Amino acid sequence: MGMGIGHRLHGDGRAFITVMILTLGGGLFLLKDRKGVHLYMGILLNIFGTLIMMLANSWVSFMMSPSGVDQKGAFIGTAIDALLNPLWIPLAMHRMMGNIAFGGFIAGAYAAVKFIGAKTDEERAHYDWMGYISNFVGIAGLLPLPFAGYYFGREVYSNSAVMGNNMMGGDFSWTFIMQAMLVGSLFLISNYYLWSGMGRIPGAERYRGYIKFLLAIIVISFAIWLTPHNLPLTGEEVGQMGGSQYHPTLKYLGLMPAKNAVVNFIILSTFFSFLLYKRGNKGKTIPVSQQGRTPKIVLSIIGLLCLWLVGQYAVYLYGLDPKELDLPPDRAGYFRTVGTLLFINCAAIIIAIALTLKDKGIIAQYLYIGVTGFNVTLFLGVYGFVVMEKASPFLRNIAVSQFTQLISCLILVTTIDSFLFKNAESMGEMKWGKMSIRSQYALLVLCIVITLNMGLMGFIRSGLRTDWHIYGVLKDASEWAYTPSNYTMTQMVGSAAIVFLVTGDLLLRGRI
Amino acid sequence: MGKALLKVFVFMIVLVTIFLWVGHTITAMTGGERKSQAIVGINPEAGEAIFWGKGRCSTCHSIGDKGSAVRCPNLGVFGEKFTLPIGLRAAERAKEREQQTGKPYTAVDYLLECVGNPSAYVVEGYKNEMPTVYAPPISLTLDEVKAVISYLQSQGGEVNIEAISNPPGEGKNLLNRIAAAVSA
Repeated sequence: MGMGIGHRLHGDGRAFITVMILTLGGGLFLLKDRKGVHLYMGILLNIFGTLIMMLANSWVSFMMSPSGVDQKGAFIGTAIDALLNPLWIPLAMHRMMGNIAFGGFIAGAYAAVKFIGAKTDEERAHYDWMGYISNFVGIAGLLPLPFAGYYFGREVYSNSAVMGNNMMGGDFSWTFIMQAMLVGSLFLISNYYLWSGMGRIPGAERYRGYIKFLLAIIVISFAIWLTPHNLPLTGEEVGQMGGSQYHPTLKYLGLMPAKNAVVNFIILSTFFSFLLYKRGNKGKTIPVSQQGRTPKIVLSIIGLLCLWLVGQYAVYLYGLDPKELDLPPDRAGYFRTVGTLLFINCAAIIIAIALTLKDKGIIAQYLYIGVTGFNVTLFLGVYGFVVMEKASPFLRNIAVSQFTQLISCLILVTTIDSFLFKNAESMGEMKWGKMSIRSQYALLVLCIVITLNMGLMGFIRSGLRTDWHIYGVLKDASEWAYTPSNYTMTQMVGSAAIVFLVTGDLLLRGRI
Repeated sequence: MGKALLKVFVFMIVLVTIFLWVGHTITAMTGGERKSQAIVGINPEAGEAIFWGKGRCSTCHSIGDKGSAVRCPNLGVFGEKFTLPIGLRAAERAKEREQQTGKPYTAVDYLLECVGNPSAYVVEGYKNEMPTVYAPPISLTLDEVKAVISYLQSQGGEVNIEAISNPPGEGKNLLNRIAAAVSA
């Protein structure tokens, strides 16, 4: 047996730690001048910060998924056994992504406060720029966050079905509706900030026409995301609906297939907003075919990565034995339908790359976004209901197939975009400072909402242990062993958020 | 700058107040604050409290229109798939189990099997994922298991506490198995 922990880590842990080591090593190439040293110090700070966070995570994740414990609950392992508990890495990934978004929105709020109080145009320009960069960082963390959350949730479920079911369908189902309100607001408001920001970008008026459609998509998707399955109604209201707690139409919107479809649609729409924002002042572009070998090499590598990402799951679904999901053999047809859809997505990847290399990158982007949007939202959104009726256990695989296609879309379209607009002519300088005060309040909302959301998610994560200090091992036998209500949660989290934000402000201004 | 900070502070308080209002409204809509309750006795009332509370049965099972879980079979009358409530359905399933195993089964035996050894019979279209409810983290006691079964019997069937405590057929072995696991 080796001395290290590497051989005992799961694939996710190895990948996570490898990314940190590669960042640490790759950052050495920055050490050319003072600016490079400054940047590398930032990388070191983040790596050490992440390691400290992971150490603290191990305590709470051990309480949720204890390892190194025998059947009677006695600890028989080592500190390493306890550290390598099943939820350690999924929690670390979720928190790291969350912290990126959190950091971005906190810095954005600082910039917004300074902008609102600015006396000169120079000050406004500076803090507008800071808000822009901070929002960029915040959104970069926000877009992949639902994937990390899904992965963490899936691992929670895999570790304990009781805990997993309690999370989404038990004590915390309404807390998750509140979480959807907060996360939906984050997406809506961050989009609003992007659209406001287009006013200061010369040339961005070309894309204004898209905004109303994006707004409609996001608002409708948000409404669907918030719709509960069974409505809390009065006796009279239940009577008016024929004695059922379920609304004849709305009940479908409260189920997972609808929710997964709209969450994917919100992410895709935000990503599209972001693309428009990025290309706002880009004029004449340099054709990809005239950019040498780099686009061919990079697009081929990224294309292969995306093909692997989507294709491996298509192959898996084609070979999946219904028995593994406790389903009769004739249900394999459902797996193959989704597998075929993934193969269609693979074909779209190949066509998109070919089109880009033939200088039709914009069409390539629309094609791949269109295919992905159709697959993950329309087709799988509707097909999810069929699967729910006929092969319910397969529903989780549908969610994975949606996520793999969406991730692939984000990666490939971003790569195509970087070559499409590489060294493109500028249609004018950004007019820093030409932002409305309303947009600065949008940055403040993002900061306050993400702070509240972090507290709410902490309540869910900790509350999932219900009446156990250490889940399934050490019971809380006191009279306090109950789950506080959502109202108590909002009181606690709201107070903590106010204390945090006020203290943070005083610290930043050197008052304490 | 002071005026700007004041505006921002007021804005933050407004947002947090909205957050509190949402929490308050949702709590009021969903039945208010619920603290742990001592549940005693082997009867359908105690079983109902366990089913919708400590036992966490309702995170996966609904009963007719009550509850919203769809992960596992509905235990009431619901759609074309579930035309009988579990109290009556258990008698039908008992016949099926008798044919499958060649052992004598009553409705109580079937219900005890559902709780004591859920993987023995999995309803078509659903996954074999029911946890052992008499082991951590749910940890129901033997009396609590019996109370839940009496509640399930009360869904369209006849409640028979004596039959639950002294099941006539295969249920006896299952009851012993649960009792041994609980006392371990």
